[in-house]
Amino acid sequence: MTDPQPKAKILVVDDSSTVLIMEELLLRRKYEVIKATGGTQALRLAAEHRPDLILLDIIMPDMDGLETCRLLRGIEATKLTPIIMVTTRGEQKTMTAAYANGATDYVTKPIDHKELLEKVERCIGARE
Amino acid sequence: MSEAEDHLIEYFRRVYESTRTYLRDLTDENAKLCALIHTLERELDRERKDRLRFEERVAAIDAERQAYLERYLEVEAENANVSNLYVATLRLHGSIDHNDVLAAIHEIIINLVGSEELAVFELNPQGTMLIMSSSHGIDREPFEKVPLGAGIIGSCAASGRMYVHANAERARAGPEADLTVCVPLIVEGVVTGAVAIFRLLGHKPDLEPIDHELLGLIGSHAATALYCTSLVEHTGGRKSLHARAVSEKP
Repeated sequence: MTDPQPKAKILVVDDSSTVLIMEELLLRRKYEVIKATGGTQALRLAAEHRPDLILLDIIMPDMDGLETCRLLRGIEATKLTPIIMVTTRGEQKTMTAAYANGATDYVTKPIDHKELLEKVERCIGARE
Repeated sequence: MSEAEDHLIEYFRRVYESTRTYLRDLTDENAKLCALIHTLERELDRERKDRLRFEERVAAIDAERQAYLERYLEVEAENANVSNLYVATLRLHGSIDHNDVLAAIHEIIINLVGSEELAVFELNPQGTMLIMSSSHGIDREPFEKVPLGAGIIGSCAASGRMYVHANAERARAGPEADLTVCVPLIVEGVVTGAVAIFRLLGHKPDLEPIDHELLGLIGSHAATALYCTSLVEHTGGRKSLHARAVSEKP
């Protein structure tokens, strides 16, 4: 009997416990979820776990999501990893800045579960 | 009669006989073909009826599939709503610290309802004034103290009824001009405070049904959670609780 295929890893980064719990609830059935509460921790966990996808909040106290995204692109382990920005700031200039810093896609808060799952599946499917 | 005439008659007789035989064979063949056509027509008719039945069955299965798909989408949406309510409840009752509960209220409104402009009020011990406990993204000054019954927020707390703006009311002026929702905080039928939500996020045009459920949940569960924190404070705070837990260990 062959071993079941390992679940794809998703690193979720948000300073809000509410969002982390919700994203974990949403994703844990199909994916292995790793949680980080800030940019610095995210950089460490990304290098350690080499996730298949990263969900990244933009507004965070220690290091914002845009800076974190830019630094993640500089790490060998995550330079090609899809990064979906999850943010309350849905305006064009924020999105342009996110793409300029290396984001792959974005979803706005409050999170539409269906939209997020579709984007996650699309990113992970494309990577596989 | 000459011999030549006899031959001719014999020849015509044979031709007549063979034609008659041929005609009989053709008649028989015709009858067989008619029977075959009749059989085929019956089979064709049966096939048509079968096909019609199959088409009806396929249409029924397709309708059933469509109904299942719609139900699946409904269940998925319900599931998303239930998760939001679960997460909100979990966060509100996840701490006995006053600031943690206030932070949870903020997170729920920012991330689940979708507004970055809010204020949380608690009623003073005399029950006459709403005192702002925390806020996010608004000018605090006009809302530091709101007399019970004054303005929309004060009236909402006085009546115990949730206020949700109607679009037509957007034209009003004053500090409450951008107020979208005011939720009274109620414990055991007694108003203990209020949560005011001002403008929704730019990409969120209006409140959705799940938001009303979340607001209802905030009205009761946030009120209870905040009330619990005040009880904990009155009984010596978290330190006292932890000390009791240690002393009760066998």
